[in-house]
Amino acid sequence: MSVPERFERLEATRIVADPGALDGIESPDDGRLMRLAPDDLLVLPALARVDVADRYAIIEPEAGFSAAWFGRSQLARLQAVSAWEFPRHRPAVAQGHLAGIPVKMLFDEGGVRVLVPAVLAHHLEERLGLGDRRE
Amino acid sequence: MALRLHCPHCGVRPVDEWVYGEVPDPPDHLTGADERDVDRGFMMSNTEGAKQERWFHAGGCGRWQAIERDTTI
Amino acid sequence: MNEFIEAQVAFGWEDLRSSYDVVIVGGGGHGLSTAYHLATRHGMTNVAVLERGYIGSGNSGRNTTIIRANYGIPEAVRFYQRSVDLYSRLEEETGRWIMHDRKGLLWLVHGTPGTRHERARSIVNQAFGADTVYVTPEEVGRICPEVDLNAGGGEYRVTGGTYSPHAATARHDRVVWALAEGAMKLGVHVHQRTAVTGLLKPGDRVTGVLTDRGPVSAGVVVSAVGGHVSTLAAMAGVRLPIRTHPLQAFVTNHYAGSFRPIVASAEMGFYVSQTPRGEMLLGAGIDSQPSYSYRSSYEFLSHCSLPAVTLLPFLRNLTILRQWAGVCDMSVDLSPIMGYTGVDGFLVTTGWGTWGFKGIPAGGEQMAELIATDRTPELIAPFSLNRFKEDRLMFDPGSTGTTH
Repeated sequence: MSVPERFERLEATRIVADPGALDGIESPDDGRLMRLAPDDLLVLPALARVDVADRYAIIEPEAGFSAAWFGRSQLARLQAVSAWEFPRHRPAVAQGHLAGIPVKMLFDEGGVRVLVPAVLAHHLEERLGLGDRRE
Repeated sequence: MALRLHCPHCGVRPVDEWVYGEVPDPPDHLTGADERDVDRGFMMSNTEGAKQERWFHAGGCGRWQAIERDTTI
Repeated sequence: MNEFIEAQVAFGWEDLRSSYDVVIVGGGGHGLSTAYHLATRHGMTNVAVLERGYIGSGNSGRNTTIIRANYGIPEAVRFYQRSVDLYSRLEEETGRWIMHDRKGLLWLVHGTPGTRHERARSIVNQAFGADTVYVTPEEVGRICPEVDLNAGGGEYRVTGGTYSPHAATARHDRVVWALAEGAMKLGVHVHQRTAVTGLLKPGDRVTGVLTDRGPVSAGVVVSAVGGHVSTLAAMAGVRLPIRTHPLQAFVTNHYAGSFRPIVASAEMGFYVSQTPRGEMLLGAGIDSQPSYSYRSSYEFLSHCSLPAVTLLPFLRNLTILRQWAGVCDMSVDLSPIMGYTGVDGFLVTTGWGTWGFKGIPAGGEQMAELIATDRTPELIAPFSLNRFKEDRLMFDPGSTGTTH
């Protein structure tokens, strides 16, 4: 389905470490890496264990995001509520405001996965008009 | 069109994704002992033109970035 | 100023002389008011106002035209109450209709800290001559029935506020024209499209200005510049505790109802009034980054609109017509800076931040007295540039309609 009903809680692993050490981390099978900053990496889905070549690395389960999948046909609708251009290459990671809410986006050929801070997910659902909002 | 700032990690983003970093803005050069502390404490260069600043990219990478901005644009 | 307006008011256009007793840089409200009061109160008419664009084209034409005296410190209450009084007599004095309208100002709060703050404000105001009373939520509802007292489902519940019946609005360009006309009728020169490019300072003293129409010598040069004052002052070797920030505003289409008072909420970060044309005029806080840009933004519209429609739900049915920006010279203590600079022959009236329109009549009156008598009048002595050296800042949290 290309339009999600709602955002679902996401389980991931957050690694804050030396940029060089993060460069050496390989994507798990069926998983994805999102480089949020040079020293900040989000791994989807959560990893059971990971080796990081930085003895001071901080490796924590990350439960602060909710995520939803939007099919390729929905990209124009998302772009319309963003003040910046989505990347054209695939796969791609981007982050910025969507409808005024900070999000992280993981683009691939089929569409985009949108991550939003869990506490803001209901605002984004409302602003994107997801699900049945009639009361 | 809103002011846009270039984040080295995330790309060009509108100003509402950013938090302006308050930094001291003393005059370009400080004068003698009598004036120096007043200059440091209160006076500002209030630059018209290019200026080095710190901005926090709250809506993106969550990192402080050093950014040059032209205050007349 | 366009040809239509120039035909309506009694302006005479003169050639630029090579010398004046007083040269005022900046043809906005404060520059023209200083010239007007020099001519009308002190008989000083060998005065030129130099304006690089047209008069009122800077921040005098970009503000939200609110007149009030409900400030937070005694010195400011006295000064702005003088301005309120002068504004209310300006139509009679100049014979020009400035559309002065005494609307009253409701300043709302949404919790205990704000309540304390507004109670303190009303006490300071009453003690120093400004008409401000503390009001309960029920009284707020009577004064302005449009306010949702349980705004945001209670998140911004109105717990009280202050009401200042003296607060008013006036048409900003009419104020500027009335002052310019009044000064010019008595012989003051107003030179538009005359940009000041430098200062004449052969020794320790400023003796005139360089303009794009040639040098002009002056007994006194007064900076009444908005937005570029730091650059002008630097030419005189004067440093100012000022940073220039943009301030944005917008108007909606016509609201068919009559929205009487000015309503402000510092905690929600916006203020609103209805213009004589029926448009709703909204403003908020300054942009956080210093800038000289007149650029306005969509982000401002959304940040300002959300609290506005939360507190005043009828605004949801209106659409935004125009938006614009001005630039505000924010002094570090949020109070104006008037008078001597430490450099002979060079005076400033600046630091007018987001409160410049309110101070136009009194600021000009007091600056004119200072120039004519070469003594700082008591009313503006607290606002000298020297206060920063003397460690007596005039920090006034009540100076801005919103939090900065």
